[in-house]
Amino acid sequence: MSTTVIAEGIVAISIIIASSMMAASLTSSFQLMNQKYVDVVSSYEERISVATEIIMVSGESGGNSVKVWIKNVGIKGIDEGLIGEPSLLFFGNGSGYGLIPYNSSTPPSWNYTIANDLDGDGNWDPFETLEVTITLDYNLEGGEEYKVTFYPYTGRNGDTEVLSL
Amino acid sequence: MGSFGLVVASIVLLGVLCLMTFTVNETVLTSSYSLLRKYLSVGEAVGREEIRIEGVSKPDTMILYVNVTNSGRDEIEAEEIRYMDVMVKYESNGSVVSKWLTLDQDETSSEGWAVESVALGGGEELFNPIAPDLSRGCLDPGETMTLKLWVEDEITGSGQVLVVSPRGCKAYGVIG
Repeated sequence: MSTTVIAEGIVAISIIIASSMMAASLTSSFQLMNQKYVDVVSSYEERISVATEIIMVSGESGGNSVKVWIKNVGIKGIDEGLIGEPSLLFFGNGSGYGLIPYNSSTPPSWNYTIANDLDGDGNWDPFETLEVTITLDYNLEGGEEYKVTFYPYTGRNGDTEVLSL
Repeated sequence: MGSFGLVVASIVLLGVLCLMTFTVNETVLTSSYSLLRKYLSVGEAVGREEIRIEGVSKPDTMILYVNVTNSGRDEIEAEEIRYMDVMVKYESNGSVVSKWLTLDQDETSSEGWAVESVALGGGEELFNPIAPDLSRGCLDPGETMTLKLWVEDEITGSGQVLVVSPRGCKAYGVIG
């Protein structure tokens, strides 16, 4: 009788120890899974919160510069350091359509100012408009269509507009 | 006592599993709900904002008056009107000029735009009147504001006015 009780006691303790070990192992795995999930959600949140839209493009036939106005239509501001270099700007027509380097010393190059930075913080806040100047290494031709595409630093929610001359 | 031990062990095991499942579900649900809410708030705000240009008049070769109506479901706060984009494209002595104009309520700069007045159905606006310095008030649905635009060079031919609402809704008008 006492042998049976001792044996059952040992089994019970073994089960408790085994379940604790399993729980510890599973908890650690679940925590890792949770963290991965939260990271994925945060990444998606950033993607849907950052959105920009080209509102107007202007350039003259014979000129070598183009102005592009881009509005922050998202719900998240874009820090000053994330506006220029991390963004992608494409411009051109036909086979000449390609990436324009930011703030390059030689053309082609693009630069920007915030047209209505009312709080003066240098960040591209929601509702604010970026005035982009593209300097080209060729002159625009009349009768041609030039395509401009802008992607914010997230690489998502890019927008394209056409400049017809 | 042995059976009691097994029952306790099983309860402990079940309890731990339930707790873990609850924790995981709670995190997943909270994160998903937060993402969904953000997604919907962006879409709703953009979908409800709408403006329309009712007409453009040119009393002078360098001045335009543009009537912009809030045709959406939400009011546009006066503070947000500051972030509207007002752009013009016109012919001036043979060349085409495009400009993004700066808001200048005091009309001191050589080029710019200002909110001249706000009306509802031709009469005075009734709710949330907009202060002259745009510090308070709203452009409520159905109300029309008259914008005054002035430029440095003469508008000698036809052209276009583009007004963009704070959340990116575009409205076009024609300069006759």
